[in-house]
Amino acid sequence: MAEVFAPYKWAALAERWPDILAAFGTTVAISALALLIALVLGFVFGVLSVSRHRALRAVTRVYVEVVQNIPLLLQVFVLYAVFPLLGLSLASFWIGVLAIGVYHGGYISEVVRSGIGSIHRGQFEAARSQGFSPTQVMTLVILPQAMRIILPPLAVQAANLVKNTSVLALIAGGELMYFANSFAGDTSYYGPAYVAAAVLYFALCFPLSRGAVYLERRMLAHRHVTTGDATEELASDPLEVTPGSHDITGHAAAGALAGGVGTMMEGTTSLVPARRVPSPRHPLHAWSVTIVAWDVALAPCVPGEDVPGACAGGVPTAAALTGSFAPVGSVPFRRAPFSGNQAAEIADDIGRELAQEALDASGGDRGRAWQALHTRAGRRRLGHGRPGAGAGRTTPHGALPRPRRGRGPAAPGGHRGAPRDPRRPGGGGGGAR
Amino acid sequence: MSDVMALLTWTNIRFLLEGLGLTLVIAALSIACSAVLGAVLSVMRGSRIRALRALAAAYVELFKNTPLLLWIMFTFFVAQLPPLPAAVLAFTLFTSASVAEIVRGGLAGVPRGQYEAARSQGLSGAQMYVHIILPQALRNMVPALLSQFVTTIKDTSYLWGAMALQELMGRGMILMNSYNSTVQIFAIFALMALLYFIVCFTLSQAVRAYQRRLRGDR
Repeated sequence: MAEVFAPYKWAALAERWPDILAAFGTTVAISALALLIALVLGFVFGVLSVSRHRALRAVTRVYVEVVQNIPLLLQVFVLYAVFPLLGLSLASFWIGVLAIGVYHGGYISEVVRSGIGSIHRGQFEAARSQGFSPTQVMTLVILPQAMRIILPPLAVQAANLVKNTSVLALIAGGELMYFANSFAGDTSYYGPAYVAAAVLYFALCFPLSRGAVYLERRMLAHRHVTTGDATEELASDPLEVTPGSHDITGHAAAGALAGGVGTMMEGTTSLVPARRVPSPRHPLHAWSVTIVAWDVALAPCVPGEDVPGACAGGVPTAAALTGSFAPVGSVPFRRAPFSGNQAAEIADDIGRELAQEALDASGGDRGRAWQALHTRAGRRRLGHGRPGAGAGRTTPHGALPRPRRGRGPAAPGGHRGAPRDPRRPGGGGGGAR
Repeated sequence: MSDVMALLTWTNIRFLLEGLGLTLVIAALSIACSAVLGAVLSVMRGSRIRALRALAAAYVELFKNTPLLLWIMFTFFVAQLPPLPAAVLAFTLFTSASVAEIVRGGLAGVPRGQYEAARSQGLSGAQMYVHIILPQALRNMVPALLSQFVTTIKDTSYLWGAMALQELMGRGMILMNSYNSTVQIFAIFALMALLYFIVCFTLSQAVRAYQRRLRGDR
């Protein structure tokens, strides 16, 4: 085995470094262009796959199934061997870009489809009822929310795409794998050639797949409003909850409050500081806030004060939170104040109200309303989510706020009569202080 | 049209079907071996010993981030194995990294209460896994494993180009040498694509049906 990796073989490979660099560059270029095509196709077909028109859905289905169920290499060969017969000759570089782009477009379209599918129906309806056109609903309301779910698997797809460029070696694509093959073939120094190729592929793919993991964690750590159907799933599988800040409403909140909290905490070290809960005026809010205390309790924050590295304006910073992901103790929640269905309905109402609120606050400008709903900067501009705004909700451990409305069934819609100013200092949690 | 009829003889079709057989055998062997190796890896990842965990993680990362074709070349040219073992080894190494994640997901999908309940009934660790945990975990894993099987079937198409193993793709390419009209080459490609499609589509539909049933159960 030592002979396979003899030093003089490595030296021979090292001498070819300009070619290695060129081949690596080709791999990167093919990957980038193919990814571009794949993204365009993926998003177009992903959106079409939830279209109301049967024919459009059928077209996307056929595209996805054909592309996913026939080997990539065969598709490459079709471009390579069959198209020239029809008078369509492409350089292997462009064959690679096209074939790999189309192939992964099918996969990305499925990713996009499931991302859109994860957004609760209420969001579509709410947006439609606010007068958004179907295109606006998709681009302004649904996709921005779905992006969080789409991004991690998208990064995985990007890594797969880079790996799949290696098939071009079989049609003399001039990329990294082809270089490794031809160098190995010319010199019969197989060992160094393939190890070097492995290292370079790894260097390309590893950041992408780590990125996927990072995005997934961040997605879960990010403020995450879970409503409707998604919550139902979450409730059925609490172990799936990962450290981070979720605003859990609906079924999961009800389930968690009904006694699942312990399990969720144990399995995942920390359940979800809901730092900005959708509607401070709703009983759900009070309950979610109570969960906050679990985590926040560890960060010594005094409302309105800054502690370097731990608190900003009385709210624990992300750094402080990651440092404190440890179960604090158990909170004696036993019963949910309402059923899962009620909670889900309430959550949807909140979503609708939020949209309306944002629209009102931005003077009917939908672009700004969208920003307010989906970007931090937008929220800040409208005065939502200011660091200080949540101050009243962080409660030292041991002084857990009690639910404002006791356990009486919070009639869905009962919150409608509540005060309309969400920026009221202290919010709902204030009631417990 | 007569060109195509000349192509569609029983001999030719059987020739291709034999290739498909080899494809399926390689894929099945690889999946079976990967299931074992993947299970070992996922146990290692959950191990209390740090070195084992690190080793398994490094393995998974390595194979997740390098192309399969590279490992096929590696086992064939560097390790100098005969084609079939080289193919199965390469697929096993590569696929077991994915299977390890699948197994981990499957085990994580079994609620903790099941472990505790099994323990409280006095089952030993092994009994708990064999009778309580694994059957449930397996049920969660079947769809993902089948999708992995589909992926493996598709990936066997590299084997002709890499080591001249006569699986479906290889058989098609060989067939192409004896037919040279455009229509015939077209037809051979269509035939190969059709065969792959039938097998893979059937399997992926089965996955979907199974998932739907699982969801219905709940």
